[in-house]
Amino acid sequence: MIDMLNKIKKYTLLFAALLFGLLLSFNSSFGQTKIKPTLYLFFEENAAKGMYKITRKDEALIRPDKKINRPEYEYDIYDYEYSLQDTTRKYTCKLVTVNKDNYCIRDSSFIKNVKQFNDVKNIKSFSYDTSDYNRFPFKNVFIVEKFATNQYKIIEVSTYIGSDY
Amino acid sequence: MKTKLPFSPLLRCTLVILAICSLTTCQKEITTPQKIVVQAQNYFETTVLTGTSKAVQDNNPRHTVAKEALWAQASVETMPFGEAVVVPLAYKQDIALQTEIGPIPLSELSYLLIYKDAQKQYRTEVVTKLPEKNYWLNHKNPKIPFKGVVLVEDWWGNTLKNIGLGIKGPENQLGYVIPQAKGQKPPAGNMMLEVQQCYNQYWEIMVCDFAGMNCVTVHGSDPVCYTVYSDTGGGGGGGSNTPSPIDYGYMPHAGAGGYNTPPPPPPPPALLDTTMTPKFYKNAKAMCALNTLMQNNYYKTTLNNFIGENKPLDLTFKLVPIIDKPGEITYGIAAPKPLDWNAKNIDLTLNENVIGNLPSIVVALTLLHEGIHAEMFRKLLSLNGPSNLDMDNFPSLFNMFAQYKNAGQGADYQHQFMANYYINIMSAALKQYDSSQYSLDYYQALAWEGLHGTDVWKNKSAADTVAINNKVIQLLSGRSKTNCNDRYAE
Repeated sequence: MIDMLNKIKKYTLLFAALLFGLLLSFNSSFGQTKIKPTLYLFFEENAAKGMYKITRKDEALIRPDKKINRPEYEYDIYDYEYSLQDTTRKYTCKLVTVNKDNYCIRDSSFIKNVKQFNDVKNIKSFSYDTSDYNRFPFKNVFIVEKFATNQYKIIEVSTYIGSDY
Repeated sequence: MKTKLPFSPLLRCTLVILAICSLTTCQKEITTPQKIVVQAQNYFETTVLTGTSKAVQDNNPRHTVAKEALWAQASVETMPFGEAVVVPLAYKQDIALQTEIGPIPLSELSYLLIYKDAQKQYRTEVVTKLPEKNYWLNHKNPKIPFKGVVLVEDWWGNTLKNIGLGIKGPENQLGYVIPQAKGQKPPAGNMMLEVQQCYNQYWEIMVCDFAGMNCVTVHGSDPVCYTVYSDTGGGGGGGSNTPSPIDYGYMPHAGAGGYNTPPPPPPPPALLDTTMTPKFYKNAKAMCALNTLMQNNYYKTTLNNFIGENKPLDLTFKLVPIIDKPGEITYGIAAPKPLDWNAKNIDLTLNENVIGNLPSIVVALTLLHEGIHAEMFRKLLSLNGPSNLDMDNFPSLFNMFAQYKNAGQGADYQHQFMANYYINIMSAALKQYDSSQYSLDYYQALAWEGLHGTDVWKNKSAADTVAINNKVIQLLSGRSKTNCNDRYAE
């Protein structure tokens, strides 16, 4: 009888230990899931610094069968030219406005949250598409551009996926 | 011993019921051709003639002369889309297509077509067939399929669609053929401008049945732009020399000019999934380069991936000023629109700012280069973006993506892919485009344009790159920049 009780006790302890282990592993893996930060990236149109802003406009497109019916669409491409330490090769990072009309203006107190391109260019996964949620290191990217004295325009961008030849 | 089946009365009853049922089933309404005609006539007279539509306001005699449907001579014919009622037309005045082989009365070329579409709704079309000469000379042989232009309009003359069937060169057109490039004006008389056709070297049109349900792509060669006129046969006088509004064709026009006041641009073709913006198809060089490139099997196959109602993606050819950063000139762009991986369209854009200064072979190269991008985008869009590339879907593109994605943003891996796999394809297409005026290595050199940032290029020796660049200079030197004239030895 005592043996039986001992056995029950032993198995109960074993089960509890297993359960604890499971909970622990679940908790630790859950704990590793970080919420990705939003990137506020500074931009200043300056050829010497390799920063260019290109404004393009898509004309309205209406097909008679109405299968395609696109309104006129204007967008800005923020172009950063850069090089990496390990090579002399020049690279380009192009980010395009998600909605050119949707932006906000903030004062300079905001600027302390803003990163320079040099701060992020060496992040290996930064070169993935912004739409590659698993690998791109930021949740969203906003361009912060000087708008007027003590005023900064903040606008959301995504990776420009077009191929320019 | 014989035993009587206990269910035999029941069996007999069942057989009787089944017989009655089968008789009832056999009494399905038989629709005779006469009945179909009567129904169509009833619909036509009660709905079309009494409808609110008005006759189109133009000077085209086909529209201004009153016509009558000859219901007594109507017949039911089986079309690819089902049964249709064909009703001959009588015109109140003599009106004929004047041709070199004699006048052809319009009543022989036009008929009323009434049929039910897939939704069982009646459709009414006035079909006018402008035959090609070779067809017309043999048109009494029912085995010879129609060749020429089919104008499909509603009863009131509003264009529904224009279709080209097996059209050959202008020498086969009946009526007056005016080469646009020579700037000739229409001959005097009671002219009606029927069809303007402007196919440079190669044309391709989507030919559909009358219901627009079954479409096939037809292509052929045709070296000049031309306009086919027919006249009313009225013997001159009283008519206007001003061309009436144009029945535009089915494929964009190169717009080679010819009149002091050019006609308004035709709308993009409704039945073509590959769309061109008006600027694009009015640009002779862009259209010539595209149409000539379509002779190339690779390019044609690539574009066919976008053509067809059931294809998930559209391709739009555009000509717009492309703004780029200072010191850089962009000849063309291929991009999903909208600019995300859920797009349902790809824009292939040529730079309007530079096209005038480029020989057409460079325009062709740009169309090729961007066409390959478009094909890659088509694959990537099917995966919702390159992040879903793997060894199972598009392994070679995946390899390039894996290798070069970290080497820069944007389409860099696509250029690496092109440099590795597409130089020979592009050079073969360019050689074909240029009628093999040079040996293949010259076109290979040209194909490298736009790919000088790739590793394959950078791994070439300095001597090789100099030799390639010299070949490009040699290939492009002295070329005309007017339309497609650089394709011919000057």
